[in-house]
Amino acid sequence: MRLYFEIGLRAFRRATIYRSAYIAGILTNAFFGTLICFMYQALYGSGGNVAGMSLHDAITYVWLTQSLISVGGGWMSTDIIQTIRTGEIANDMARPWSFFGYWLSRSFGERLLNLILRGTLTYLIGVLYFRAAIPSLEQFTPFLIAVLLSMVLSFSFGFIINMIAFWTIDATSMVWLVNTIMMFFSGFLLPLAFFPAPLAAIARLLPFQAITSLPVLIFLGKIEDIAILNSFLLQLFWIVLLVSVSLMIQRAAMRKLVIQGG
Amino acid sequence: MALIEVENVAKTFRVAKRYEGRFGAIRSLLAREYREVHAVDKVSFQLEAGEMVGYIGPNGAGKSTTIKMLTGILVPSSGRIMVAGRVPYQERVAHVRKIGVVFGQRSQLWWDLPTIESFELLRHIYKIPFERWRENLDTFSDILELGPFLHTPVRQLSLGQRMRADLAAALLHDPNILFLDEPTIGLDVVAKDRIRQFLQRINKERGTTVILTTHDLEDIERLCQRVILIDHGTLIYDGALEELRNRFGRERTVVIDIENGLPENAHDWRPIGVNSVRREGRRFWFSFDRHATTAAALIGEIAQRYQIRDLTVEEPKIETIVRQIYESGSVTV
Amino acid sequence: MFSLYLRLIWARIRGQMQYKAAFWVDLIGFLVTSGIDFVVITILFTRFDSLAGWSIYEIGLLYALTQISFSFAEMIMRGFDAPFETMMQRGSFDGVLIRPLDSFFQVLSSEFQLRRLGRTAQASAVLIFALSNLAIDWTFAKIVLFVLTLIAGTIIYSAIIVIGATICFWTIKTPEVINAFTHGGNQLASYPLSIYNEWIRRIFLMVIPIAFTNYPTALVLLNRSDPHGLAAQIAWASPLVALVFFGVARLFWQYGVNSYQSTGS
Repeated sequence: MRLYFEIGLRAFRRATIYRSAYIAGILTNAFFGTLICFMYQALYGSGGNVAGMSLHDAITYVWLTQSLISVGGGWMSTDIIQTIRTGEIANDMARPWSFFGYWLSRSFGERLLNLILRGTLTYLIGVLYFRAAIPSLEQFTPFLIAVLLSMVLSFSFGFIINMIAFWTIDATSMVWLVNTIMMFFSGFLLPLAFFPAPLAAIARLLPFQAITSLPVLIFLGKIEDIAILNSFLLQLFWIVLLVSVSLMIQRAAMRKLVIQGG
Repeated sequence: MALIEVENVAKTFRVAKRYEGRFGAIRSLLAREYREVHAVDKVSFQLEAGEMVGYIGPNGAGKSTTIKMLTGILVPSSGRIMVAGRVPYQERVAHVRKIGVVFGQRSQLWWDLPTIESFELLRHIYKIPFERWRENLDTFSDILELGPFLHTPVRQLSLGQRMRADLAAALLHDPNILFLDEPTIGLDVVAKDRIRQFLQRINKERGTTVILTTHDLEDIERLCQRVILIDHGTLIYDGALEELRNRFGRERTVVIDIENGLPENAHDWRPIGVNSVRREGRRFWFSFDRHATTAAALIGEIAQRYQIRDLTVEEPKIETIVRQIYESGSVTV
Repeated sequence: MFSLYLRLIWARIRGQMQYKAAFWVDLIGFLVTSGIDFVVITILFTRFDSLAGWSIYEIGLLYALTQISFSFAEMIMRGFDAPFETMMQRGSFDGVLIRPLDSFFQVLSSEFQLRRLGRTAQASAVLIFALSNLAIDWTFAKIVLFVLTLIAGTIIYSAIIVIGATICFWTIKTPEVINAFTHGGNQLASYPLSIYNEWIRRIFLMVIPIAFTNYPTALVLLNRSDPHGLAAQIAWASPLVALVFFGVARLFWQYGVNSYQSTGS
């Protein structure tokens, strides 16, 4: 257990080195947040409620999703694919600790830092310039839990996709495609509430809503009381499912390594 | 005027400090301090056309930095560099047209294309007249035996093949100066030998000036009459290889295989001038100071005690020489 | 010079064509991932009536104009994207400095990605969708303007890509910054410039002139006027604006190269 903590800490530290890239990242997120807000203002015009969301909701929604992009809901990292390409993965898998556990702690460390620094600063910009909502404690605590759960979920999904590269030759464009689909159905590109019925039905069946949409809706107060517990359960359900699949894939990959020798 | 003139050239880099400790990570995020690294510190030397010089030193000594300044990639912090009457970084394109560079670690060729196509692209880039290009290509193909893999994509070549191709590529446009950065690294003995022979021929037949950076001291021994030794950015030695060996390679070794058994006091016996004796079975290594005695005299003494079956005389290895210079502190030449 | 450029990019294209399957997979991938932006807009229009008074078809025109330009820029200037970033990371930019050719030219001709036409295909489909539902009275002048805008747009996006790449000289690993400029600007231009606040409008009209890739031209084609008083006729200045901006990018690149040679990174 201590080992994984160390790995997470080291990832945490490593992420602080690229200072200018970090600031650039925050500004990038803020930039997108800004322009999407203007788009919603233009759409809402004089106001009103659309599919249960007011303009203020939409603005808060946008800033939340942008703040969470590096925490869970955005680009999947292709770090694992890189190690597959270089062959390093053979070494990594031979180590005395869990391969999945290693990458999970590492990813968790990076995401946690992103949450504390990048996410918070990005959201702060939204609060200052667009009056994005500041949550109450009752909303914030479950929100935080949901975000932490979504980190694990997002990582597991990314893990599975990365590992598929083990069996295919060039996976990066496929990763990008899957990533886009994930972002679409997670509610990152637009609130799931706006989806037309058939798409909304599909979204409900997929794990991605548990990555972005659920935590954000909790924050907005659209999910309250018991419904919050339900969404935790939903998140946990998907976590268990995806982690199991991840471990299965990991085992299959190890077997392939042993047989083929990398 | 010499072909290459380097006068009091220095290059200083600013490197960001890494903070240690618990909050080091957060601190480096908030504030930054820099320290100065003197990669090259007032180095001076001159090279005439047609020389083949070895430029050696440990890792981080400043070799690559100097080469980069000579090729025009890097601008010196201070000092003066003139190559063929030009300041390299100021007239980059004109300067670079006349030089060839081979990086041992990276290829200059187009990865996905057959070797010959890289050569063709280079013909257009360097505007080499077709006849001359053809001539060079045929010559190099011949000596370096490029024929078998001329039509193989570069990414499929072995290290040795790729190195030969890179060498040919660097010379197609008849450069005056050839810069080689670790050209034999990772190669097997046969491949190394082939490359060394090629370099000797180029230097001799075409008068191409060659500057060779290498860790393989055998390259130096085989190819260079002159050696420039650099460490921590400072020039430590510049002169003939022979003299380097004479001054810092005083120790030679006579290796003796004896015929029959050892007398009792074999271990204690040490002739005059001998620094150390090593023994493995029937073989003795007598290391001696070349100023204290001669190989002939020593062999004579040994022959009086033992029946010699076979013998050789070993010259000091450059590694030993280099180590001795370092151990004796910085050396003024 | 141009023939050398063609030769070099032809070498790259041939190299890419060796992997036929991957090429088509990537192309379709780009088609889908870039198309999803317009899918989002379409969905939004099922919920909302208009976007600041613009219909979905008018937005489609805006979108298509800027996307097509962007796709061309992505195809041509790819050398300044991932390949250049790799050069910075591996230190292989030195190899560029060793050759007797301008560094800008070398990076430019180091890559040409035909697969980016996936975005072009998708944007063209949107264009057809938009134009077939819009009653534009096409004159010869308007057609010329349309074509000029596409060219100007390509140049503008190309300049942004170069600027983004030049920043790599100092920061080595900055895919995100380039993203904000290109994809961000791209997304921004998908909506009418009038919806943004004043300083955003100013910046994207006068500093990073992405607005010139589509907005004034759309005003002319659609016979609309800008609520903030922008004269639609400045659409005709797009090519000039593009060239000036590109000139600035080119100078910035030179500054970057000089800086690289001083610090060696």
